[in-house]
Amino acid sequence: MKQSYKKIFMDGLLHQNPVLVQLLGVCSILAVTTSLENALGMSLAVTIVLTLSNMVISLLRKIIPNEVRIVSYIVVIAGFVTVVDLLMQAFLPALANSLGIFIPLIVVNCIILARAEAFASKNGILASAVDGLGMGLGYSFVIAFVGLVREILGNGTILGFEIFGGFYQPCTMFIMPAGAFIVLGCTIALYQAIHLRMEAGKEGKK
Amino acid sequence: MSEHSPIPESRHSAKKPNLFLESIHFRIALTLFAITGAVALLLGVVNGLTKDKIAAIAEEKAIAARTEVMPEAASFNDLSYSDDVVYSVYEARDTNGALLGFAIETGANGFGGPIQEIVGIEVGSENGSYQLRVSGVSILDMSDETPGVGSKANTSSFLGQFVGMTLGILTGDTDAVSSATSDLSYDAVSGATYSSEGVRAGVEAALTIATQIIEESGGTVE
Repeated sequence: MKQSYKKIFMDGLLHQNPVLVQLLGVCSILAVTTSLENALGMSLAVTIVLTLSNMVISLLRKIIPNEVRIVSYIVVIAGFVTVVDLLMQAFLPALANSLGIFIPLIVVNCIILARAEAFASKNGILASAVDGLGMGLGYSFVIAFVGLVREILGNGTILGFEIFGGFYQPCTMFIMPAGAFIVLGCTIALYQAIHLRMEAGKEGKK
Repeated sequence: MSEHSPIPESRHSAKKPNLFLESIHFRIALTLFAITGAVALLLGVVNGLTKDKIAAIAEEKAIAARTEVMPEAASFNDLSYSDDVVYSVYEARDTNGALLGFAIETGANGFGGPIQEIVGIEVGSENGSYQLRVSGVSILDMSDETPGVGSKANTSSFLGQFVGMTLGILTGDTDAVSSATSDLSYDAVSGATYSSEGVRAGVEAALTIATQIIEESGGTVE
């Protein structure tokens, strides 16, 4: 079942995008996308944890007994998340402050456990690293996009800079949970529309 | 061999004590121990590397917050007081050691939870008694308030209205308030009454405790 690294990476980024296709990690997307800056910070943390934990779990895959595999994965993931949390608090305190409790919540981000179980436990270290990176970047693009839309519509700013010059009265609903669901839903629909068109185009060429 | 409760024959033969070290149970226990041990070691190392930096950042943040509301203070002195609403009380002193006032951290309930703020109180003396006036209010944490609604209480126009207020003006029981004012002795943010009230209650608690401290050391507060 050896796949090329390019395929693994593109799957994570696009075809099997963890959020838009697998619908994983949705809680964090809804909660953290109130501003683009928070979204970017979160995506960095998730990608790092995902890649590292995929590599370690792949390294240990032949040693971990099947009966306790989930427990072992969670210990490894929680360990990396705590390391990222401590490093952020020490070196990026402003960001750690904005993201607050959502950094520790990365431990229960479904994407990381799902990739550990579905991929890292069955593939080599380098392949797992590529998968982690691909899935992490796939997640990052979605969270950045949703964060950008929500910040523009709900606050009239991008990364804190006013872009409408005061003419636009922000629609606060987009900063609230209802707005999060709506933006995410529309993003998924947009992705599906583009994807179907691309697939139809490929079929047409054959 | 003594009689045990009935065990199926196949189970009986698989778990003999002297094969424990080769059994799946031992392997599970050993693996889990090794993994958790390695993770604990990693965490210990990272914690050791970062804990001083984290503590320093927290202290810097606290000093910056106090200085923001009491800008002329040269040093802050912890009076080690706290209760339900007041989290900490610091005396602010100038370079000569004279008392300038207080920087008091409070957390009165707003809409979703306590609003952590720091209130600066200037102590002025005139005619033998002291006047305590608010020198500034700075919000430290109001993340439980609704973004876009209650968070509007964290603006300089709202917080600035407390500057110069005494306990009498704030609680509305002084003649300095004109008879035309409404029931509230301050202007709340419209649509965010609970959050505004939480901020106000914090300021009142700070003024109250500052008054108490001055009176306990023998002064009179007017």
